[in-house]
Amino acid sequence: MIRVILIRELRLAARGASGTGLSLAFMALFILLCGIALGGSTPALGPGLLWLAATLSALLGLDRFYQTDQQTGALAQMHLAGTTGLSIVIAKCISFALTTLLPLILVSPFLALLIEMTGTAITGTVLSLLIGAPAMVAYASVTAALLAGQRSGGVLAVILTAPLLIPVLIFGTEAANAFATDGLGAVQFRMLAGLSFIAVALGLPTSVAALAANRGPS
Amino acid sequence: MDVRHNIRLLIDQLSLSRGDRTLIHGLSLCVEPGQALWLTGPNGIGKTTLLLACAALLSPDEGDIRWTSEDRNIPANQALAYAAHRGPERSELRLGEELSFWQTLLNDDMSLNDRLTSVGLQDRDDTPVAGLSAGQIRRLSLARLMASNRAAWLMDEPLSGLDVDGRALVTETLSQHLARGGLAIIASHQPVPIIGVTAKKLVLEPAISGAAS
Repeated sequence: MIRVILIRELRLAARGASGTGLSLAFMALFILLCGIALGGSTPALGPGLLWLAATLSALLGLDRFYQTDQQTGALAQMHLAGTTGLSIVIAKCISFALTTLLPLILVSPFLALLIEMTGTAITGTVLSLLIGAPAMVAYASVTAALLAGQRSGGVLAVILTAPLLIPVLIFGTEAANAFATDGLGAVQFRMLAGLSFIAVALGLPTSVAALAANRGPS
Repeated sequence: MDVRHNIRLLIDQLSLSRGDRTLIHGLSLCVEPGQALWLTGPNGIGKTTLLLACAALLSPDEGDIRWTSEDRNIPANQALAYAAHRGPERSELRLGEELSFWQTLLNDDMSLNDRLTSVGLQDRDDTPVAGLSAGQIRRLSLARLMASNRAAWLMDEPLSGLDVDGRALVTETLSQHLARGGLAIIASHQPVPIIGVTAKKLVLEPAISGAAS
């Protein structure tokens, strides 16, 4: 079941339904503007800026996570077809990770050059983004599921997700900075991985419950 | 055909509301295998709300709705298939992609082409869903019902937008479904002709219980 839903999601994303292009453009613009506004001080701020840019850009596409399928009734029909809520949530999360988050992480090394980051800092940041990605996906899924029944939850979704992501942001940037001295074994990386595990463990069942509560007509 | 037989619908002292408006109050009825229930009444009277409640997508204020088979309760998502007024199609997909997705979820054993042919949409599998007419969307939704192999069909305005052939197709499909021991609940402004069975008619009236005749 997960595979079938995932294939449909990827197909929809390929036809532009997930707004990947918009998120990428937003991230590039954000970093470009930071480079202009902050001038020569950007290399030191680099990891933080990339983390912020990736988080905000990923949240941009949040209202498409479950909302469209909720409004057309597709989520209700999948439930009636006997698909479990967990399969739907897992498929949607994998799709969000692959079509929204992964492209953002993949372009981040190139954007990092705009703000003159060093090679080690770039590697550290990309690794920390990859390790923190599951947490971002899980929390994004929770708020998207909570707001699935709303007509326009875009900004509200960002406001709700941001507080959940604060610990991830703290340890994400710390891990990126610690990479230069301690490498992947830095304690911050382990903390970040732990945060990701907690987020997935809490986020999946919470999303399933939120979708079930939103199952009726919006 | 693997339609699960002998599923009946029992509604007991049901009250339903949307927002703060009570639409249905104290409704009790029973639909047996092989029977069809025709819901009718003016716009906004609660036909769709009743269908949603039967599909367990909306919880009742009072009373209960049960799908049973030999005195065992069957969960709604194993008992029924629901053809809503607006379908779950995504305009970005092609007809073939859309239907085969639901066929896979519903474990339909018929091939995509045969399924499309059975509702008169053959050679259309490459058409984008966005380019389908209202009648073709209805046919797609009928195909989903047939693919479901469920004993109970909930249909919301199954005839809207359909041409003469399409109406005949609904009559034929529905009659076969009932003859196999399935049941159907149809919300429609116009009667849906069925061969061999007379549908129970339930006229919903404002704020009071409807009476089955």
